[in-house]
Amino acid sequence: MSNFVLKAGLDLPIAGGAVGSEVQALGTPTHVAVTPPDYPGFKMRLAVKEGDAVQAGSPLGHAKIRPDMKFVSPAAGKVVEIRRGLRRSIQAVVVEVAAGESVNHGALDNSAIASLGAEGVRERLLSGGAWLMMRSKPLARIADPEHTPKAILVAASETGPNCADPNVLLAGREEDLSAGFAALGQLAPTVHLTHGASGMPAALSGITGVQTHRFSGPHPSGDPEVQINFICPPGNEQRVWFCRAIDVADMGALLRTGVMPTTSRIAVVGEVGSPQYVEATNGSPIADLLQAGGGAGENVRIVGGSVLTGRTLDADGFYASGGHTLSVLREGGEREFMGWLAPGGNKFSNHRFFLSSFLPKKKMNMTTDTFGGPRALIPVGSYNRVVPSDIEPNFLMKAILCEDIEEMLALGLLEMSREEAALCTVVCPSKINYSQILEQGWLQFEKETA
Amino acid sequence: MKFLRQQLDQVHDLVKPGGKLGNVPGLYTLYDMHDTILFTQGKKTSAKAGPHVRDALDSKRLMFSVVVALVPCIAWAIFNTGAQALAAEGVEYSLFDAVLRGAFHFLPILAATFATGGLWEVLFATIRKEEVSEGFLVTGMLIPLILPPTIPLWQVVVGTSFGVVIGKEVFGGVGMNILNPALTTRAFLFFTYPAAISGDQLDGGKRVWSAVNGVPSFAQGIIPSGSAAVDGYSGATPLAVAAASDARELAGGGLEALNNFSSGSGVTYDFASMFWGTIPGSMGEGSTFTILLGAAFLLLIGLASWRIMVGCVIGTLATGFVLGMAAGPGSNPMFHLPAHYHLVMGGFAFGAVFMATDPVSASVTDTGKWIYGILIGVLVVLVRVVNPAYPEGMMLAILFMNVFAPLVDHYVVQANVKRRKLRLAAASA
Repeated sequence: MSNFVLKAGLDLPIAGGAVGSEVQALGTPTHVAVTPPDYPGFKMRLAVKEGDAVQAGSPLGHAKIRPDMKFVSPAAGKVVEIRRGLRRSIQAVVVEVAAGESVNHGALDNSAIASLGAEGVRERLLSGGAWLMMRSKPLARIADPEHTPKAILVAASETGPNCADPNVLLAGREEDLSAGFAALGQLAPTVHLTHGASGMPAALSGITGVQTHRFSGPHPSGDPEVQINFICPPGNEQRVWFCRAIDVADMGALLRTGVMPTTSRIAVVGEVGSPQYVEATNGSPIADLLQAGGGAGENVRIVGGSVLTGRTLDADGFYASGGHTLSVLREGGEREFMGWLAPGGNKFSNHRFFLSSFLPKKKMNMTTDTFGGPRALIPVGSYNRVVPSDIEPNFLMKAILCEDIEEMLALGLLEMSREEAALCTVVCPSKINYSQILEQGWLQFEKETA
Repeated sequence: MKFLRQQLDQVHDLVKPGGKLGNVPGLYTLYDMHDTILFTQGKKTSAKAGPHVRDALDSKRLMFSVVVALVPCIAWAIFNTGAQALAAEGVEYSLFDAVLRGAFHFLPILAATFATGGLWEVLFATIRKEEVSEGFLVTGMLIPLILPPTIPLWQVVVGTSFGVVIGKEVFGGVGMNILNPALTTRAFLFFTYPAAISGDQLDGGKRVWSAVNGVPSFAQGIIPSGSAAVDGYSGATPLAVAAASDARELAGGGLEALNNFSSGSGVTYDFASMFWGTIPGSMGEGSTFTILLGAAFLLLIGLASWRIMVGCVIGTLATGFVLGMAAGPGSNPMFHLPAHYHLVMGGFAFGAVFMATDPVSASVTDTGKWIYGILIGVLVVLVRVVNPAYPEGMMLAILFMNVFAPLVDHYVVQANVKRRKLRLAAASA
């Protein structure tokens, strides 16, 4: 057990976090969907067409480059719509829910799980559709089942803005978790389990065979991509897989019962009537989730995930990512008179240029306003204060913009995490999109190493 | 405000590309500049990918905050320029008289700087099709503060043009420059028109730095002024006095020369008067006290790097102390100066607080900032004490370290790269 105290970082003081640990259970929705854009880098090839009947857990499609990576239906029913976006990319495969069977891969008891072997675990997670939760560092893409990782890191910590509390997500999942960790132990020589400042969630107290670590400090101290840098950096030759503890619970449930769980607990947060936790069928319509959260106002942006790294969702879309946070954010864009000169008692800034920095800390209603136009970088130290990893973010950014792959690798292209890049983007006074630049560097790395 | 917004929107329709006046070069850039000063841009973050929120700080507020930090210096510059001139002319003056006289010298230089710099900024923004950058707001405020009140306006125009175009725009504009543009302006003027900037052309060095007899006949009667300098008046700056050749003869060197000095207009060069700034000199850099007020504000909001400021002070005190030990009879009189005198003399304080901390031309890494600051401190004392040619070293020390800042950063970054390699080697072992 080691203890990491990260100093750099930023907890966005954004209002509208879910209160308490009550979970409101929602009924079965009329429609559910699988949404491939939640898995960047993967194009989906359909296995069904409109009008086909499907079971819960039966594949709707698979990854184009990996036929064994399945996107499974969260409910039984009939495929009624295939929504396409730009260049006919598949945005959603919509299933009208009807009573029906679930695909069962066969229940396993503890000893059977313990003797599956790496190959067995892999095969079951892939065919059940649970593999998509496993990510791999470097680059945070979905893990390649053919690799053997150096280690797997499971984060039971969460520091993202208004993100679902692992304690709430994991409550009552003890058996699933122990089955899940028994399986992960067969995929990699070492499994690391991290928790936040408040300690290990109760549901994980009985887990053995893992190395535990404590991470405290502001966001992104709870992010597994960042934690890997401190525990087991993979470099560009090796790989470390990572996921959240709740994902391990779902993997464990699949192995233990033979059936992929069809519901998730979701924190509906931000500009909604009453931010709270709901338990909903995976792929539920966003309208249902927002209604359960007390309804969202007009002129809002709905974000699947946190406001830092989440994806914008359509109000008539579905929330299917296996994520556990749905953020609602008021759109900005009002033209405020002399806004840059106002004392700013109610404005969020990680710089002490506004009155708000000198007032007692309170949560704020943030918007999507950029508060200014793009400029050349003026390095006043904004980045270094939010990046806990041992990286010089200014220089990494310049190397990426110069497309100098050697230099960017040397400067930590593969260490920088998406959360850190997102925080850099948020705090940059020159309004430079660091996240986009990091992704550009990653794409170049993938291209040159392919 | 709605009315103003409507008016601006009407102008926007006129000057936008495709509007009636859309072809007039620079017009849209000009409109956009004023529009975004009056109203926030109202742009939204990209919906395509996160993050979806942003910090409220933008470069307008960032640059403007430096100007706020400069307010005490500007106020002192205006008052003291007038006070020094009136004292030298032997006129009894009130606070109001001094401010009026000071403004008469300061404001034209400020106006010339902003007119020149603003023109170049808009021109380059138009050519580059970018928004007008706010960087000149700070540069334009700094330039008058580091110039003597006697500087001819045409030199201000030429110097500002050089500083903005060669010091900044040729590198790509604000954020890309290697040298601090305000210091580039001063260095250009210093080496191109040395007589004007050191006052040699006036009365054999007697009127240096003070705007004595600076009021033309048409304004006399409106602007408080006397007819001529008082008998025996000397406006030499403390550094010039301490480094002067006749100080060499004194047992106490430069320190004794400072103590003996009397300007003829009531100015003495003891530590306190140099700290409070009741001395002639470049307009804004005389008073260490007002500069410290600005420094306090910059540090409070976290804009300027405290590492650089502290580094400058440490480097100066350490070097001054070591050189002081080498002082002896016949050595350069500056050797005799106690180390802490360097902190209140010349442009040290102004440079350390407002120039060295320019985030663009300074080192970027935290370790680099320490090295950069300390070396500025070392260099400024070396130039002042060891080099007999220039009594003042701050400008050259900062410009020199501006050039070397990327090198300092390079080694700090290489250390980071090395740590990463070691970490990975340890992790894969």
